[in-house]
Amino acid sequence: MSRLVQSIANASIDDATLQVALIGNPNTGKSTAFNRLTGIRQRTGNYPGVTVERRYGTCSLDADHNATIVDLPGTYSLAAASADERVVVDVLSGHIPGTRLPDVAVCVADATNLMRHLFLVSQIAETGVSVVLAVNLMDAAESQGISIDAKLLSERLNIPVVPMCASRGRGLDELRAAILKAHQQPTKMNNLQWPQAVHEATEYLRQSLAAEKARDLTPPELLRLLFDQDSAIADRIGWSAAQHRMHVDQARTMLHEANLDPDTVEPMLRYAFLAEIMENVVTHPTVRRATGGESIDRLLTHRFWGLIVFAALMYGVFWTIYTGAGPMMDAIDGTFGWLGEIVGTQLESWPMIQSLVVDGLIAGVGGVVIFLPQILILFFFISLLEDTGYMARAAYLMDKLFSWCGLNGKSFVPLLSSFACAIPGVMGARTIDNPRSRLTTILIAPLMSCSARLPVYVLLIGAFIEPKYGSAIAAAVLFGMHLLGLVIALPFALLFNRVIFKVKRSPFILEMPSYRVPDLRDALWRMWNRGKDFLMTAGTVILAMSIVIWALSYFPRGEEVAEHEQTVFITEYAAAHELSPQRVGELIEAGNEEVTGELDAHIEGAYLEQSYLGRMGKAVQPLFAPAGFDWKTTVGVLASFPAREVIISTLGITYNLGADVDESSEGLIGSMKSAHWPDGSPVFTIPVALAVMVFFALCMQCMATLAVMGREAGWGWAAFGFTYMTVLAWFGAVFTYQVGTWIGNMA
Amino acid sequence: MTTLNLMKKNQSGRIASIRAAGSLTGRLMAMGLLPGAKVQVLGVAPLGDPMLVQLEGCRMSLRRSEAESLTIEE
Repeated sequence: MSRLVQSIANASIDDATLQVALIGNPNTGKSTAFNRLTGIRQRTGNYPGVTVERRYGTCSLDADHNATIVDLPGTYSLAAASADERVVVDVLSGHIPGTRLPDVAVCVADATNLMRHLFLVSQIAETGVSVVLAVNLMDAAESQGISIDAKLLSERLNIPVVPMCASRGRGLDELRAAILKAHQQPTKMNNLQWPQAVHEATEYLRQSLAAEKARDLTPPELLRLLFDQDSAIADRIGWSAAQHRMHVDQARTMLHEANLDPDTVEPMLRYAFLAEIMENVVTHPTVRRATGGESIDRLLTHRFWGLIVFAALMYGVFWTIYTGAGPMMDAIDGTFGWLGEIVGTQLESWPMIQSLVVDGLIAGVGGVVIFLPQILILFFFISLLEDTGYMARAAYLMDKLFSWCGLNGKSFVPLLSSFACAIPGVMGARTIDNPRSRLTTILIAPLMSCSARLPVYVLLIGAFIEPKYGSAIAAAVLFGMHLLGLVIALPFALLFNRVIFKVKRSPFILEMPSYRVPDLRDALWRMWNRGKDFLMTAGTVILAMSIVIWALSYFPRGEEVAEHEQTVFITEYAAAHELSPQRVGELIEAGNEEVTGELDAHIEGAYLEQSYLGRMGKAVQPLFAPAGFDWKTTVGVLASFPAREVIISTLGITYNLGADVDESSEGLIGSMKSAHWPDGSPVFTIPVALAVMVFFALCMQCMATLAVMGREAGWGWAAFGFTYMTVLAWFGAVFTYQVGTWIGNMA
Repeated sequence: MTTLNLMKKNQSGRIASIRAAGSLTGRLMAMGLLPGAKVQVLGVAPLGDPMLVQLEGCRMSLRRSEAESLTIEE
């Protein structure tokens, strides 16, 4: 956390400029207003300790005044239930290190539903900040025949009220002027008067805090402590659960005694106050006009047609990711391969530097960049789906699938995209506002069978299943492997929610925003930011881990290993080809490509076997023996920690074929088929092949995912994810091998 | 009198009272589900839950378990 605090502090917001917080309910066009006010002068980051996006930018109010605008997450009230909402409360009460208290809060409200939006405005004004009310979406209100008397509202509330339409740029100049005025001549908003019992109850809480030398709270914070049963403020004051329950219950009893229900008194009184304020401010048409959005909604939320449209849209999105990202990924792969070759030739005289640069650095950077196309394309679509308002409909359609295991409909898109790659999936979980659901989604996302597992499946199915059982069974096994992760993931989600988070079901109330034309610039901006975020934070971790794994597989590298391997090779090669050892030696001396190629592969294999990684593989092999893995497969498992598909090139090396093999290599398939244990029995039987596949289906051999999980959920959760998946994969592999062998013996 | 979760598509009524566990009552009310507010059921998701509800000025998706806490009068 301290590092994050530091980085926020270093973000160096100019203290001389005005601090403006942009606050509002979700879907009020707040972000559009933010984009319009700041243009390209904006940056993103995270709030310390939580993965809530911190978006801020600079805006000129007039020739002499600049403002730093912070776009706060959308929230309905200050009863901080989620991490997003808590950030809003923390910013308004000055609890965010490195962030000044805002001078002005701009509350963005939806003109089509103004009363409800004023609820939050009233809460915010209570914190004492100078408030400007921006009534956005005026065009939508006008088209529905709703008219708003902004002048009257401004007089009644005693704050500036600016009607605007941010998407068309209407009212922004007025807003800038109002911000400046609210700063220079702050006014106190007319707000509701709390009944005596509420004052007494908050006073009781204040005194209890003072008596126990707990942290001081501001009057609005005391209100939150009183009204919100699971208030985030409770964590901050340092009361034990028992102390908290005792004092808060006592304060709430005081409300009960005055015939006030502590759960409903706040909204009841606030809305009663607002109803008075709003009298004659909004004029609705006598006959409600149906909006275009309603007929679209009838189709998109339809029990049958809604699903068809949803399936078609998802298919379109993922088809684009597959077909669009594929060529880009091939190009990236090719470029880095080419770069490796060029650089490799230049460094030929320094074999260690060559290997570090080519196999460590270039391959490491390539392994990071390769994920970029998928991330960019997915986030472009996620932005569009969110901005149009469709994402809420998708969550509504899919919710039931996930509600039983403690998740909600918003988990669908991140989990579906994890079938392509868990990295954009884990990053995409940001769209889930409930923090526990989000964390659970992040933890199970890597169980979805991503495209990196495919080469492993293809190799093993092609080598062992298909030749014996035919293509129908092979396809069924391939399908089963893809299903396995999903089938296991959902019960695990339930388990995490019950055992770790101790929640049964979290409520899922979702407002369906009006359909809007998305802001393309905003979508591109968010896409670019996600990509940059991935490269900068996850990328550095991935690169560092690539180099560690490279070093483990490179060192130690003694000359004697190569010399010994050459002697062995000459004898074997001579015997196999009915040549004299001297003749083989001559061929090597003469640089015969066929012989030296094979020799190099053998030396490479010997080096790997002698390396720290090879030794580790041999040392932990007994652990994998119950799953039927030999040391070569075990080394493959260890070496594929950076990425699952690495097992194929590692097997290539351990089978003395060199790293340049792929999942359809005849040589590799042949070598694996003819591999034998010392007692002569084959290494790879059907149960072993299945066990290896199950292991790779369930394990988390992907450090890019691990790095992204660390970034999104914290390193503790990343470590937890890695551990539970590895244990799960081991049990899965052992179970598969043991049951498979047992069935094999029965048959 | 009925509860929202028992209402059929296109049925409408007014919220009489709200009684949910913990902080949910306050949340529902903050979102505009107040006593006296008009509600209409627009439909139910393909798998039978959640339901889609029209309120004055906005539409919302609620799970049946949450809708159960809203008493509705015709």
